[in-house]
Amino acid sequence: MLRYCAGDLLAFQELYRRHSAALYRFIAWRSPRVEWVDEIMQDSWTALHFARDRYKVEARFRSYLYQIARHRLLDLIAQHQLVLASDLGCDADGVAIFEHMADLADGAQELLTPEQSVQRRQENGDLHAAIAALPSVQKEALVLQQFNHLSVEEIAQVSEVSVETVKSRLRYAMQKLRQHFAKNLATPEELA
Amino acid sequence: MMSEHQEQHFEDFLQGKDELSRQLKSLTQPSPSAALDQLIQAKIAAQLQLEQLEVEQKTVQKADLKAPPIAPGFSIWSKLKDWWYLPVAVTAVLAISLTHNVQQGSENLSPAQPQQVAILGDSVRSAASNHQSVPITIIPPAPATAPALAPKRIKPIQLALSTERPVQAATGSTSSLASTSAPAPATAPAVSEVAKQAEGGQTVVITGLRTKIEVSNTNDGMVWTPATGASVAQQSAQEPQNERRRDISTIPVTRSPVPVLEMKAGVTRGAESERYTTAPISGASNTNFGADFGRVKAVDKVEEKNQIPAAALLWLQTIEKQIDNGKMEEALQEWGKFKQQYPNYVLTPAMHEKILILEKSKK
Repeated sequence: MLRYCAGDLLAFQELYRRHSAALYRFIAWRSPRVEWVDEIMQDSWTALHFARDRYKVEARFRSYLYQIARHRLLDLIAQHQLVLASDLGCDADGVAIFEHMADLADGAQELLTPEQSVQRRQENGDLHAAIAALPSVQKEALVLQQFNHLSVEEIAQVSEVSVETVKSRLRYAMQKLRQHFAKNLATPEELA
Repeated sequence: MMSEHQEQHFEDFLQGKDELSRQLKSLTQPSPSAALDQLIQAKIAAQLQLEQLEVEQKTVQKADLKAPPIAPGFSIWSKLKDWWYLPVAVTAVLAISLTHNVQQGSENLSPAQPQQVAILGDSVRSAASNHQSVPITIIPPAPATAPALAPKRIKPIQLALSTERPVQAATGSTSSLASTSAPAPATAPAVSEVAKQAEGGQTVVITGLRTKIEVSNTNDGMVWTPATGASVAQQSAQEPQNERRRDISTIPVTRSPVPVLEMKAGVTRGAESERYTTAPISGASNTNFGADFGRVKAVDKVEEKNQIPAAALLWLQTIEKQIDNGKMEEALQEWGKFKQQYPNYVLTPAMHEKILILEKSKK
């Protein structure tokens, strides 16, 4: 990052190679609309470029980058005055995102048998729906912890909350997902 | 409060060891497209290059600011064009000061002229009185009439002094010759140069500013002609310019037994004042140059001859003809009348011999 701050293009390219996929994942899981993802992605890297002089060595670059993307997302949401579907639990855009992700997942499971593919598609769809049903803060913590592999401390730094708050959000997200899977995994006899 | 069982499940969830976390990891994650990657990287690369260009331009601009280029031939003007008012200001100050000095000088010189003459007169008077025991009375000219003169000129003056007779400086309003008998012993300290030269019987010239005082002491006296404002002004008004240069010898003089102070205000300018000389006195005794006026010779005899009336020449020619014709008695009578009329007339040698023959015939 210091080399990039000095104007080294190769240093930037290395940073982009390491963090672009994870950042895009975070944005894709967090953004309420699919068409916003690329826009937020470009704006995040551009903002990082112009804000690189304010970067402090004490902070991890990943946390710094995710903070930039998160702020950009929140600004965009505030501009459109959207009420996130995840906050209400029934948003069509959110469903659309996870359906899109499920379609992407289907493409990666071509080696499975047709039965297995159908079962896996159903499971992923249910999981996407369960994640989309989480409150935004819980979903944010869950995505950062499970998909971006950030520590609790880093999540607390990105989300600008305490570590205990992050843990609490993660516990609630875990319990909701478990309850969702318990319903889906239970046989009709068990439900009766 | 969470039980230990739930806490264990949570820790397993965080570490990806439970079934839920494995299912989450199995989900297909979205990834940016190659086009988006290229777009973002190209955008940042272009921005970096632009920034580098800006840095280079700033560096060049800083270098340019440190050493700004100056077009050849205009460097001096570019430096001096902001200081154009300095020579103008200096010139203006000089012009104002010169004008002021000229005006102030013209105002101060006119009233000071008589005063300077008076001071100089005192010095000369002191010198003459201390070293030659000549009481001198100097009456300073009246300053009221001085402004009529040229403001910056101080006229040459001549004063005839006698070493044994009291000398009076006279200021005449109508005539340059005046004689008063008011001896005033001077006791002021003498001017050394004046005194020494006066003792040696030499001509002393004291020049202060434009005043020239010539003291001619040929054991007969001194001639000192101070310029007075009144006399000079009036004389300049009465006499033509060429007549102001007349020497003392050109003035018709009559034999006078009284002490004579011949004072002539030479109203001259520049070199004319320096040409003004004392009246030549030749063969004078130490004391009575007034009574023994016959010893006074003119410097320029031609000029002196011009002073003799033409009637005298005709008169002499008539006498000469009478002698030649043998009319000795008539010639003797006419010669007696002529001597009375022109006692100082110098005869030519031929005429002088004829007169001697005439006087012998009488005897």
